[in-house]
Amino acid sequence: MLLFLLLLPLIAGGAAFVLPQRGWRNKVLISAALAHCAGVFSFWRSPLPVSLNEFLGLDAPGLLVLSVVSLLFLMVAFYLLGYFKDEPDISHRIFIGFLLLFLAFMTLVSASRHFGLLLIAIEATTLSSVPLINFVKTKQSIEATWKFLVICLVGIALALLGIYFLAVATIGNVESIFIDKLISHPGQLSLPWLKMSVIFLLIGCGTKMGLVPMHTWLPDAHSQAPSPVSALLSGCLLNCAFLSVFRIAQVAHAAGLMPFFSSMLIPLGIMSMGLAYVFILGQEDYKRMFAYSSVEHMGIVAIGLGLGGIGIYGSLLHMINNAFTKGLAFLVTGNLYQQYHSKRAGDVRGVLRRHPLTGIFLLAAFLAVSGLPLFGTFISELIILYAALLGHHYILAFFYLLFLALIFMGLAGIVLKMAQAPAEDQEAMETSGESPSMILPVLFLTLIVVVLGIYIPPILNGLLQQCSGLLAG
Amino acid sequence: MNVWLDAALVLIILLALFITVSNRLGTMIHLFGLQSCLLGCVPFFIYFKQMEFYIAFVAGAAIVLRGLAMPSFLYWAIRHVSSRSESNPTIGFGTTLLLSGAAIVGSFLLATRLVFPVRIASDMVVPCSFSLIIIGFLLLTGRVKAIAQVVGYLVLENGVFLFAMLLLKKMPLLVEMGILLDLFIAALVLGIVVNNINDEFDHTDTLELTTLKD
Repeated sequence: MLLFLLLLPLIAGGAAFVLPQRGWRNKVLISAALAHCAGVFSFWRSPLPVSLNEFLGLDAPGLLVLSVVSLLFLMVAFYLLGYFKDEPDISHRIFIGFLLLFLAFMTLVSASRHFGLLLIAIEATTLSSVPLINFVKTKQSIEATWKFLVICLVGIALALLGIYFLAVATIGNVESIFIDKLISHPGQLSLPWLKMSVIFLLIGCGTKMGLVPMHTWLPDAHSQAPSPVSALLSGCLLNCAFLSVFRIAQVAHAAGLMPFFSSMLIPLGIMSMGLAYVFILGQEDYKRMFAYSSVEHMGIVAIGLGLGGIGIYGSLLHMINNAFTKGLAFLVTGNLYQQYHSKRAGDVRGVLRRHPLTGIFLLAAFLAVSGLPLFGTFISELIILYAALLGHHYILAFFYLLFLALIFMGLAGIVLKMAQAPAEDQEAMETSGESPSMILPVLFLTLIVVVLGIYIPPILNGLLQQCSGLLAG
Repeated sequence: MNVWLDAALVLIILLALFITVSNRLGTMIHLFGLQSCLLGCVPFFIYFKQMEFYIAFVAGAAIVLRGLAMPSFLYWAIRHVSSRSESNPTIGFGTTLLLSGAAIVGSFLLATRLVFPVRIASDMVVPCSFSLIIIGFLLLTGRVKAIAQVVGYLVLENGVFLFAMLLLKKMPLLVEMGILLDLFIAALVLGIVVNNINDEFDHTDTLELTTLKD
């Protein structure tokens, strides 16, 4: 089954490159996404971890990330049916093909049980997302792609060095870097090399996760990519990077280095939140605004993981909430871009009056992103705050709340104007961007975020408990 | 063989320093190619007495891919570029050289603190690899030409590769994975993007890539 999940998008992607007609390619995309999603959720009933061989297997955190990736990918696939209309055939072919390859490599990230394989999979996600980001070949998108490539490749090179350090740390004891073996032989690794390894791995994977100060590729790539791709970058790719940070935490935890690891994670997290506030304030490009909000939320996730205990539960829950919220936010920006043909927040006025559905979803995205009650993000942010207070990190809790409040105000200033201010020219605009295939996925994502704010299904709760149990004790 | 190994390592570092002070893209690529060929010889020196087929294979692949294919590929990428010299880097040539010197000293200090768990052929391998990584990073951040940045990245990768050579006997699979991860795909994509930069901007100055900022 796991092998099927890995091969399915790979084969479908290959098929998309050769299929001559656009309709067929769309069918391949949708059916592959549906089958992948069904396959992933069939694992929810089976006992974990499932392993295929030494290298591939699915444990609780892997399944969690993979489920989020698969579900969001399905939504984006439906959205794309309405999004693309008149781009040339060749670029449609490349786009759909690489989109499916991207899914295949993200599946591989979730299923890797070996650090070397994990790194290769992360590198592959970088490479397969390049044609997606550089889809509209403008000067700005080339610049964004260049930054994305160079910064992520350096990150990967440093992470590779970190893995070599890890391998040195195992010489004379474990002699391998399979995640399971590293965890089951605690306290034997050579500590100085392990510490170096943790530092370099965190820098490398933190780059991909968008933690300040290695985040600089993120706002550019998110704002220049087509909106559905931004949704995937923010909702899926960042989570895959977080999964690799979680793997490092597992090794650090087993070796008793968790305090050391936390002392790096928490400052990175709070810096991400602070910097996101500075750049959200008065941001002119609404996609950049949501991109900086991704930096903020990844910071929150890092803080939760660093705090440990119930914070880990909160961190994983926040990862899920953030993925769907950001999927929602970026798909709404896709609608907005098709309606107003501008990325400047100043050009978008009176959305609620002109495009009531998009307007409502824009407000929902704004409220969910800023973590207001009724939305899932509120619960997870509250749990992380609780973890900070439990651990007597009062200064951290103060800044955490301060930045959350400031970012809420910064976002409100921009989004409310977009939604409510009267439009300058009152002539009727075309109603494109409100076709059913572009509204239904958004509606579904809104429902997920709202439901997670009210009720956490027991099966999800069980999975989250199982994940946080891996770092307990 | 230790003498040969140390000599090769010293040459590798010297070549990295030459790259930092050369302002012509062609020279940088040449020097990088030479450095990679030397690097490809390092496994022969380290594992002289215990030579095995896969070690020779890794070394040969490094010489062919990094020493020959990559430089010619980079040459191909700059075939249409009109200005082939780095005129105003963000970190000056002198400063880069000075910082590189400091990086080498720092790497040797750091390496004395980290004891390698098994006996290795030469104590210079670890500090040399750290130095290459830092010098590569300096080049990457201090140059504005896209190709110069790529060379910086490749020097950094060479540093990582040099460290990996120590693990070749213990964990061949991991090292081979690292090589698989390696440059070739990365450089291919980098090359495509560089070409795109060429087409859109008529040059490969990343300084001009400044429309996106806050």
